[in-house]
Amino acid sequence: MKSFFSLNAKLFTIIALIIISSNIYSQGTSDALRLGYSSLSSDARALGMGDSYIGLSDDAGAAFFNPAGFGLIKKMELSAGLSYDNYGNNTSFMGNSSNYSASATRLNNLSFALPFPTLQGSLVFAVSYHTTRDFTSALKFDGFNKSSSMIGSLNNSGSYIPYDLYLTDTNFTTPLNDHLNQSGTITGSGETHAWTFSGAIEAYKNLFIGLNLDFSSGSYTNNNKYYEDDLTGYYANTLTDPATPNTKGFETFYLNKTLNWDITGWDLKFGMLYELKNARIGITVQFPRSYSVKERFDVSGYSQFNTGFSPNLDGSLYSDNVQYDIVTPYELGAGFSINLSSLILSAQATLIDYSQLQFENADGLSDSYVNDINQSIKDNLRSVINLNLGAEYTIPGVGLRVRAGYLRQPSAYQGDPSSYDRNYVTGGLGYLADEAVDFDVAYAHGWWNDYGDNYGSNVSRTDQKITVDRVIFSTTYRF
Amino acid sequence: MKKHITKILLIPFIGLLFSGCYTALWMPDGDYDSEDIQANEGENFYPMNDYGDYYYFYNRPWWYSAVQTAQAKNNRSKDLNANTGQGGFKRDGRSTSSTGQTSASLPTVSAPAPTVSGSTTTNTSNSSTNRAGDSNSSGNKSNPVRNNDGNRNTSGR
Repeated sequence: MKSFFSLNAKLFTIIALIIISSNIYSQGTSDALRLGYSSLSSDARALGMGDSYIGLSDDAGAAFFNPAGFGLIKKMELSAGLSYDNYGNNTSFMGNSSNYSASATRLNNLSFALPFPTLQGSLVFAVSYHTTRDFTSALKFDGFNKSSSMIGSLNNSGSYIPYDLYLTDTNFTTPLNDHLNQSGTITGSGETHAWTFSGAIEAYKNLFIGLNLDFSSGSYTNNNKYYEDDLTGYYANTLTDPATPNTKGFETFYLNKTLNWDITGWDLKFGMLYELKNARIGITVQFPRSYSVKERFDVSGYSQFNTGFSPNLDGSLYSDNVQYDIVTPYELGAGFSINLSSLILSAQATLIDYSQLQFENADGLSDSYVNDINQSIKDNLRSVINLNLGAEYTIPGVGLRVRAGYLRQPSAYQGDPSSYDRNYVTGGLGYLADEAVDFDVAYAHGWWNDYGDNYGSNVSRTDQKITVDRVIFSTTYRF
Repeated sequence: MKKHITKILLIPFIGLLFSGCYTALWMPDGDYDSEDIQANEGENFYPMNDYGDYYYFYNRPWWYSAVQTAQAKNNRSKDLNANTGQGGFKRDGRSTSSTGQTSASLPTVSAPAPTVSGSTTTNTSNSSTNRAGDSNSSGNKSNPVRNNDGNRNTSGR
């Protein structure tokens, strides 16, 4: 019997090596959105004005918003900035509430712009390094699920993890389908940053055109720790595998999944800006960003019984390396700013069709699998219009500026209620010293709702109230 | 969709082909007079009345000081060439230094750099041109360039 079991185990292991990895982790819509969602800018003045900057863009922020704005710079400009991000998540799970947060501090902007001397018009080149996405996230949950379990879900989906951990019998039947306490944490970290090479020229009087060429790189790590515990003694007298007496009295199932991305990519952005006496109008076209993702997925875990028996998972059977491209859609932006004496008002709108997000050039994933993901993206995502509003008031004679802004990024998912839209309020201050050194600080507070499923659909769901806080400090020297 | 966007992007470039580019680069040996500066400054998104120091932060091109230096050198070069052909004036350090004062008709000072007021013509010939290019023109409030380093002079405060 023992040898039969051993033979079966080997056979199952071989099969698992071939087909199982995709059962524990599968690429999907949320992966594409991770690189598709619009992010906050790394420019303090712009952020203070709600990132409503396509129609203003007369500093290093042009590398993020509208490259044509570089054409408005008449002095050499050197700027640098630091950012602090905090991600908070208030989670409701099975009637329990949990708070969790994560933060990151980084150098998020370094830029140099060089205007060429002109008899008329403008020609400016710039190079900048800036953070383009922040992947900081956090989630914690803890609650009693009396109607389902991940063990049962994995087992039903064909995964060998429950079997390997002696949570099923040799016929792949498990009693552990409900009445377990579920808890865990999911944290995300990482960023993408870009080296941006920009050029802008005044093509016609007061009409500026510009181009950004971005070379991006970055990393993303997602660490998912998941526990199922029999806190009530519901399975105290149950053998999960009758052939193995040590499996009496299930206590804990632990699964740790770690996802690592190594990201590279490039993209182009075209911008135009027309300047009137006291107003500016800008339009931008963000060409699709092509990100190449090298993904490593690692799994570890164990189970624990009150007999002292605690088998560990051979993670190498479930770990995986794949590679693919994620291509984001076009983004069409338009904005304007108007100067009313010492008060600048700005607004902008950006059209993004998230259903055009795509996985491409997959290595390690079948074509049919990639097609299914892309079809799912088309079926579940939608086009949205992001709105940004901003204001800046310069206190005459003091060199002090006060800023405020608001931005709204609708959820990319079809059918999501408005509470799932990302909202931000922003504010900021700027101070100019000696006509040459500008100090800026900005703060943004964002909030929206989201949800996530540990497995299945709406059987182990975390309802999340997310808040994001970002502080940017930057200084600009013009000479 | 991609085709439409490409067409939209081509519009400004097609326009450029027919109209030529508006921007004209300045070369160190080229002319750059006060009219050019005034034309460049023009009406502005950040008017001085409302924005104070920010006016200079945004509006004053960095190359104005370089233009003045180069212009001064150009003027000297042109003037020297002109001197050779006019009245047999020949560059001679001893002759100019011994003069001490020159007449207002001396060609080395007749073509002022953008920052130089006409009053500098009372200086000595060759060396005075260099000084004029480096001098502060705060006394001439009508001149849009205050001084050589691009900063606003005290008269503007």
